[in-house]
This record gives sequence, C-alpha cells and structure tokens, in this order.
Amino acid sequence: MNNEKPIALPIKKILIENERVKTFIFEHDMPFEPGQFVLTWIPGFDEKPFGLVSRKKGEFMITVAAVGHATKALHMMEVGDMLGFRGPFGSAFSLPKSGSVAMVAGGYGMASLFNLAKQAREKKLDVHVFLGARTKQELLYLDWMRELGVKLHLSTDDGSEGYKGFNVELFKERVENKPKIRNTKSETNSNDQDVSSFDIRNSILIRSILWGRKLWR
Amino acid sequence: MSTDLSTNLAGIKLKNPTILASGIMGVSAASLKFCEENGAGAVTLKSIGHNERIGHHNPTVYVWENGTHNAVGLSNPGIDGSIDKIKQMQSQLSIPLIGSMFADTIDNFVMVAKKMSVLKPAIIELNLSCPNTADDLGRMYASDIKMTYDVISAVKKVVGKIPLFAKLTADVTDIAEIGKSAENAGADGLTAINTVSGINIDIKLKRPILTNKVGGLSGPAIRPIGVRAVWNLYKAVKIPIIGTGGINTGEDAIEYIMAGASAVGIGSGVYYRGIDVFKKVTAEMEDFMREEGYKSVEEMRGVAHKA
Repeated sequence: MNNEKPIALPIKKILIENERVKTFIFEHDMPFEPGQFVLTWIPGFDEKPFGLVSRKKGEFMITVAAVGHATKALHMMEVGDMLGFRGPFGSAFSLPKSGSVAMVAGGYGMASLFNLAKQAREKKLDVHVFLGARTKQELLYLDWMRELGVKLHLSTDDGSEGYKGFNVELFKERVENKPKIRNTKSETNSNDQDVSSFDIRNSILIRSILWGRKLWR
Repeated sequence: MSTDLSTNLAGIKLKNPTILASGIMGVSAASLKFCEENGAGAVTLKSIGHNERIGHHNPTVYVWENGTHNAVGLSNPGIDGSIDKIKQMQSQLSIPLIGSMFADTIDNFVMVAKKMSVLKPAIIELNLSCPNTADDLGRMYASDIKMTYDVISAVKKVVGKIPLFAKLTADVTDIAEIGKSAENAGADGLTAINTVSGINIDIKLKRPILTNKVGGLSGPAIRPIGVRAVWNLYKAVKIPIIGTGGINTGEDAIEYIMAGASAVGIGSGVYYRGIDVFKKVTAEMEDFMREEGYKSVEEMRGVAHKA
C-alpha cells in the first residue's frame, strides 16, 4: 500500500476562518473522492484524521478546530512548518446522475461535504446546502460556496445570520413545504434519525454533522 | 488418507494450528468471533494489565515495505474493566480463548493472573516482552533469566490447572536460556516471538515515525528471526511452542512447525491477507501435507532439525 508511508509537506498558507477554526493549505496533488480523509501527522503530538478539501488540482487543504492537544499544536504552526500525511482513506459519498441534492452540514462538518457540493455542481445538479453554525462568524466556506453556485440555506444558533436555530430544523421546515424532495439516506455517518424520517421526493439528502470529530470515531 | 490439522498445546486441543496473536482484533467478542468464523483454531486477547492504559499518541502503526511497525503502548481497559468483556467473549466462542496479560511488578502480575484465572481461559499467556513500554513498565521480564523465572514461578502458584505460557522476545543474547528458565519456573508452554524492536525514521521530517520512536516490527521481515528463535527453543525445552512472527501463508506456518512449533500465531497476517488468513493458511498447510504425505501436524513438528 503506497499510501502508508507519510508524505512530508510544508504548510503553504493558513486561513483564519474564525477564532476556533483555521484552514491549512498544502501544495500537493492528492487525488481523493469527496468524503475521504487524510491522516495528518503533527510531529511530536499526534496523528489525526481530517476531511480532505480541494478547490483546484495540485492543492489540498484541511480545516481544523482547535479542540485537543494535537489540534491546538497544529494551530500554533506557521507557514513553512512541516506535517506528514497518509491517505486518502475512508469511503466516499456518491451522487445521483441528475436532479436535486440537499446537504446538511453544521460547523466544520462542511469540510467533509465541500468537494461533494463542488462535484455536484460540476455535474450540473441543483444543490441545496443547509449550512449551520453557532454564529455568523463560524459559517464555513461561505464565499467559496457562493462561487460554486449552490443554493445556501443558512442558520445560526444565535440568529446572527439566517434562520435562528439548527440547520436540521430549517431543513425540515423548507423540505416540508416542498414535498417534491425525497430523502435517500447516504451510507455515510450521522446517527441523527430526525432527518432520515422525512417523506420527501425527487432529491437526495446527504448529511454531515455538527462535530467533525464524530465522523471519524 | 486423511490429514489431521489438529494440534495440542499443554492439553488444550486446537482444531487447527492457527491462532490469532495478541494485539490484533482481540478486544471484543464480535471481533474474536469473526476470527473463529474465519477459521482460527484459537484466539488471543489483546494484553490486559493491572490498570487502564491509554497507550501512545499516533502515529502508532506504520507499514513499511517489508513489514509492519507498531508502538501502540499496551492500551487496554485494565483487568477490572475487562472481566465482563471476557465473559461475553467466552459465551460466544467455541474455540479456545488465550488470555494475554502483563503488569509492571510481580505482585501486579499475580493480582491480574488471579483475577483472570477465575474466568478460566483455555491458556494464560504472560506477555513478558512488549518492546514499546520501557519508560513506565521497566525492563522487559523476558530480557533476563532471573526476572523470567521469578515472575513465572509467582504466577504459576495462582493459576491452578490453567496452562501458563510465556511470550518471549528475540531481542536477547540467548533466547534458549530464557526459555529454559521459563520451563524451570513452571511454564507449560512458550510463545515466540514478540515483535522485534526497531526504528523507522522519516528523513524529510527528520524524526522517528512512531511517536514512541521505538516500536515492534512484525510481518514478513521478522519471520526468519522468529523461526530461528523457535529453532533454538525447541532444542532447549520440552514444553510446546507457539511460533509467531511474519506468518502469512501455510508455507510460512510449516517453516515454524518444522523448526519445532506446535501452533502458530498470526497477527499482521490479518492485515496482509484479510481476516480469512486463518482459513487460507490452514488450507495451504493441508495441501502441502497431502502432497508431502504428512498425516498430522505432530509428524512435521521439528523435522528440520533432523536434516
């Protein structure tokens, strides 16, 4: 297995998404399927899985919230510091050939869905993204999503942007008003049964979850 | 002519000589049952210690071109947190369960062994040779004749009739001396070898890949080392030996048996060939035995010494 040996790469660029979350960009061609992850070795601390994101060939990124000792160490790193990568690993999402797709992502959960949204747009699908976060500042990749031309349905816990409340509630509300959308469960993650019980037609729902961490456990 | 794949380890009968080695899959009833369904003759618990251990930070496992390399650091829930789980395993398994255990002091070895023996596993295996925990558990017991003797003789007193095996390391000057010492202390069998201590360095990041720096090598690279260890032990002791280290195929298993092993442990082979490695190895052994006219495993055991 050639993906077992770590590839050492310097951090090319760091984007500060908000006070808890940073995006680290690497110049390297890492072919992956939307939904896959990469094991990221933070030398001297730990090796953790993060969802792969890429906006163009020859470049990939990971978006990480500082929550534990390893991710906090990663947040201390600077452009030029080296990390090790093994992967990509994990199963991927699949898309229908035509029609509408709804994606529900909370917080940095959007990291695991960004490339799926991108792929869906490349396939000319009608993409609805129900993006939720605690506050306006924590809504991830907003500009990039607008560039993709997805239909954004925003929600925040504090009401600082869009619907006040959880994205799942907003999804339920909008979908119930449009009984044409159907929920086909994706085989990926989430234990959230509320979402999967809707009776809707003509659309595929792909769900992410609030805490990226749960994806990998 | 029928081919008898069964083997006997200190009175414990195995339908075939393939055993899931300690450290891989041996953490839940479901994963052990999965090994049984895939042909394992017996299964071994991931080593259980005197208290809960989280283990090392990642990277803890690395696969390089000639084998695998790990320093997981004996993560386990501790004996008290494992009792219900072991009972559940026993209620679901129909093949022998080998209880692997370790501790820091002899008193703790005795404490864990007492608690484990109440559960009556088919065999208790003392892990005296994990290469990845030097800082907190002290020197490996199996690196020293006297330490090996002292721990085995102390544990032997509290396990009743349950056969006691000692898992040894090849990272010693003379494994045969250690094996003899284990036998003299009352061990009913030996398991050889544990992973071999090694370091892989990432030259771009300029540091060892495993967080623990040192880790245990397994897989194809260590097979000749394991075969040599079993060879030397077979000449030194009368008790049965479980040969472990780099066994991926029936041919590999037969090398160990011809060196003197009564059964074989398979660990990283699960990674290389899939969970049905036990079925595959057994079938390949059977083919070889049929071709060569061997009727039983016992008939092949140690034959290479006669050459």
